Amino acid sequence: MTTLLDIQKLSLSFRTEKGPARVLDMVDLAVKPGEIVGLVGESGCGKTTLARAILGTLPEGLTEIGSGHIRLDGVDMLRDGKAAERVRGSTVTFVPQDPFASFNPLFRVGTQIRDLMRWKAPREGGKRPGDDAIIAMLDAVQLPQPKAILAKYPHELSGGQRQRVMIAMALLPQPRLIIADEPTTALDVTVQAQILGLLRRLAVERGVSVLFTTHDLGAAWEICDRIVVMYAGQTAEIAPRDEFFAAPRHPYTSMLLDSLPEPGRNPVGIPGGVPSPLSPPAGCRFNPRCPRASDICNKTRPELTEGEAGHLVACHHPVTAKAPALHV
Amino acid sequence: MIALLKRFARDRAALLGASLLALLVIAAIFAPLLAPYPNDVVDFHIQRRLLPPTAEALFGTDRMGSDIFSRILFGARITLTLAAIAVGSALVIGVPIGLIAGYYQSWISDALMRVAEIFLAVPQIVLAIAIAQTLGPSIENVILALSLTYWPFWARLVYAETRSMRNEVFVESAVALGASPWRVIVLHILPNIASPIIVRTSIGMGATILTAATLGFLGLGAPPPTPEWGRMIAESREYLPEAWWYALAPGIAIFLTVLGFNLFGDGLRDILDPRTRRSL
Amino acid sequence: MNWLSMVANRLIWFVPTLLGLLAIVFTLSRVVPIDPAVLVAGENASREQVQQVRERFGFDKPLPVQFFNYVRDVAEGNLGTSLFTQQPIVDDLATRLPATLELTVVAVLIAALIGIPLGVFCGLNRNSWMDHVLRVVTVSCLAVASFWFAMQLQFLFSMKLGWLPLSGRIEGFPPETVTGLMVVDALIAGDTEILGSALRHIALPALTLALPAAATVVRFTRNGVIGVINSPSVAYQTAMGFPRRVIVWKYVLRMALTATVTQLGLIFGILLAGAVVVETVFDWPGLGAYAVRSILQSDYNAVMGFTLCTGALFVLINLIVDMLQAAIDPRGAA
Repeated sequence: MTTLLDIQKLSLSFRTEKGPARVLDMVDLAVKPGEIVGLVGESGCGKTTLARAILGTLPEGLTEIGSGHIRLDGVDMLRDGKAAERVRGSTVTFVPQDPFASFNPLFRVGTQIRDLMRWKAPREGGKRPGDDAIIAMLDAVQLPQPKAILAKYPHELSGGQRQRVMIAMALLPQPRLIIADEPTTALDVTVQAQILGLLRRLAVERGVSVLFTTHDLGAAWEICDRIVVMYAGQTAEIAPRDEFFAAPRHPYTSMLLDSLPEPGRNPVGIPGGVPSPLSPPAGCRFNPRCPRASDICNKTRPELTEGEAGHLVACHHPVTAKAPALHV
Repeated sequence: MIALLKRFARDRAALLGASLLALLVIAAIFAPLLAPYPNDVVDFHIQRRLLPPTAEALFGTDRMGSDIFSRILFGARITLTLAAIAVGSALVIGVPIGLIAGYYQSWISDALMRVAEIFLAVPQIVLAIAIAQTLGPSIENVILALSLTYWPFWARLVYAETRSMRNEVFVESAVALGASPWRVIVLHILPNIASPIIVRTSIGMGATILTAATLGFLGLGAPPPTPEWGRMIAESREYLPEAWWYALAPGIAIFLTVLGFNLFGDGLRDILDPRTRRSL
Repeated sequence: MNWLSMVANRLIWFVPTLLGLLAIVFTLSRVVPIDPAVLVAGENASREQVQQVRERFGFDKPLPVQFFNYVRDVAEGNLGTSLFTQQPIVDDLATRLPATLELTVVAVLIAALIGIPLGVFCGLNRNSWMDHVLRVVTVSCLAVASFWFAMQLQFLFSMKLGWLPLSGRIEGFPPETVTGLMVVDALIAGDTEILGSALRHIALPALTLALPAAATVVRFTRNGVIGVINSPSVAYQTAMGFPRRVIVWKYVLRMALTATVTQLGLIFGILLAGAVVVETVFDWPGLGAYAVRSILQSDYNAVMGFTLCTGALFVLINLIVDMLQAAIDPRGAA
C-alpha cells in the first residue's frame, strides 16, 4: 500500500527572542490509507506543532522550515500553498483540541457547517450536498435532534455535543485523513471514551485514516493501529500497537509505560525534564535522562532503524527484552 | 528595572515621546534664557505687528508686534504647570475616593460612584466651560475647573482596579491576618494598581492640555497678554488668511506636547502594564 | 432575559443621574458673583426694574426652593425661557438638535468608512510598514487640537482655495423642514442645488469632528482583528481550508466589529465633546455652539437645558449601544 501522508526528515524551528527554538528535528512519519496512527509524547514534544505544520496553522513569520517535506496524497503541504489550501478541508480535515474555542461564537452552528460544505464538500452530480447530508451526518455522530442543533449557537451546546459536531464536520467533506489533535483533553472523562469510540468506528467504516495526537497512552491503546512516539522534537520509536505495548524498544518508551499506574506495581516516574528546544542536548535528545546512555549518545544522533517488521527505533542501546508483560 | 528601561529605549515611538517631553521641560525651565525677546510676554511693539517669520522673529510676530517664538516658550511654562497641577489635584481627589469606594463595598461606595457617574454623563469640556465661566477668566480658575471635572475619571478607574484587587489572595490573606484597612490599601492595593494610574496620568496630561487650550481658545483662560497657546490661536482668527503663521506655531506646539505625552504613555504601558498591551 | 434587566437598571438610574447633573449645574449658576436679575434686566436698569425681574423669575426665593421649582417645571416639560433669545429653551434645543445630529451622524459615517477598513488592514498586516505609518497617523490625530485643525482647514479650503464655504449650514433658503436634517430634507425636496450647498457646508466640520473618532475606530478595530486572527476559531477554519477572504471578511470582521461596538459610547462621547468646539468655530447652528454661547452669556437656564439634553442623549446612546451589543452577540449581555 502506498502511503497517504508522508513526512520525511522534517526540521522546523520557531524564531524567539532568545534565538531559534528547534521544535522538530528530522522527524519521520507515515500514515497509510485506512490506518489509525497515534502520535504520542509529553506536552512540548512537538506533536501539536507537527499537526499544525500539516494543517498550515503555524504562526506566520515566526516559523522557519529547515529541511524535509510533508506530502499528502502527492501534494507538498509546505511549499505548494495553493494546492495545500485546496487539500485542507477536503482530503485532510481536522478535529481540534478545544471544540468550544474552535467555533466562531457569533455564528450559528448551521452557518459554520454550511460554509464548510459550500467550499469543501465534493460535488455530487454537479450539486453541493444540502442540509440533508449535514443532518444525516449529525445523526451518524449520534447527536439528538440534529435539525435543532443547526439553529443553535456554539455556547448552547455541551462540550461533548460540540466535539461530535466537530467530528461530523471533519467527516462531511469525505476526507482521506483526519487529524485529531488531543480531541478529548477538553472533555469530561465520562465523555472521552464515547468520543474516541465514535471516532474510531466512523473512521473504520469509511476507510478514513486518522492521525491522532495524544499524551494519554490509554487512549492511544484504545483506538490506534500503530503508534509513533516523539521525544523533544525527534521520532523515538514507531511500532504496531500490540508490539508497542508488549515490547517497547526505546528506553524512553519503556520508561513511559512504566510510569503508567498498573495493578500490582508502583508507577515509576522519569527523572529530569524535557530539554529546552533553544539548546537541545547534542546527539540523542533523551541522553541526559536515559539510564542506558553512553558516550556515543551525547555525540551521535541515532538513526531510526527497523528491527522487526514495522518496528522502528532510534536508539544506540535499545531495550531488547521486556521483562514483565503488560496487562493493559 | 534596567531590562525595562532597555525595552523602553528600543521602542522608537516612546523615545520620541520622551524627547518631545524633555524638550518641552527644557523650554519651560529656560524660557527666559532661550527666548530672544523675553520681555515680549508683556511688551508690545505696534510698529512691528503681524510680520511673517524671519531670522529675527522665527515664528513671526503677533497683532501686538510681540515675538511669537518667545511667547511660545513662555506658554510652555503655563501649559505644563497648569496641566500638572490640574491632573495632580484630580488624582488627589479621585484616587482616594476610588480606593475607599472599591475597598469598602457598602452603600457609600455606590453613592460615591454614582456621583462620579453623574459627572461622567456629560462631556468634560462642557462642565469645565461652565465652571470656568462661572468663576471668571484666570489660570487658577481653569485649573480648578479642570480638576473638578477630571477627578471622576480617576475615581472610576481606581475603583474598578481596587475591586478586582480586593479578591486577590494576597489581599484577602492580609485582611485575614488582621492588617488594618488603611494598611491593606496603602501597602497592598495601591502599589499593585499604580501601573495603570501612571500610564493614564501621562495620557491624561495630554488630554488635559487639549481641554485647557480649548478653554483658552474660547476666551475662558488667562486674560491677555498671558502667552497661553489656546488664546494665541483664538487671537489669530481675525487675521486669517493674511497672517497664516500666527496660529501655526501655537497649534504645532500643542500638537507636539500632546503627542509627546501620548507616545510616552503608550511606551509606559508597554513596560509597566502588560495586561493592557499597547493598542497601537 | 438578561438585557431586559440591564435596560431597567439603566432607566432606574436615569432620573437620579439627571437630577444630580441639574443640581451641579444649578449650584454653579447660583454661586456666581453676578446677580442673575441684573444680568436679565440689563446694566442700565434701575433698582426697581431689577427687583421686578428678581421677583418675576423667582430669584428672590431661597435656593432649594428655586431648585425645587426648576425641577418641577422640568418634569412638566418646561425648561424655562432663554434669557437672551427670549424663546422657550425647549424650542431652542429642538431647532438645534437636528443640526448637531446631522453633523454627528456624518462624522460617525466618515469615521466608520475610513476607520474600519484601515483598522482591518492594520490588524491583518500587523507590524508592516503601513501599520507603523498608520500608528503614527492615528496617535497624531488624537493629539491635534480640533479648533486649530478646523482653522487650518478653513484657511486652506475656504480662504486660499475657495472650494468650500467658511462657515454656516446652508446658503440661500433652506429646504422645507421635514426631518430637520438639511441633507435629507434637500433629498426629499429633490433640490440638487440645496443638497450640494448642504454637503459643501457640512464637509469641513464633519471632517474635523471625524478625525479623532476615526483614529479611535482604527485602534479598536485593529486590536479587535489582532485578537481574533490569533484565535483558535480562525486556526480551525484555516486548517479546514476555508478561503482566506471568507475567514477575514465574514468571520473575523464580525468579531472585530462586535469589539468596536462596545466602544461606540466612548466614540459618541468624543464626538459630542468635539461638537461643542467644532460648531463654535464653524458657526454651525447646533447644540454645541448654543451651549458655548449660553455659557459665555451666563444664560443659565439655557445651560441647564443643554446639560439635561446632553445627559439624556448620553444615557440613550449607551442604552442603544448595550442593546446593539446584545443583539449582535448571541452570548448575550455580559
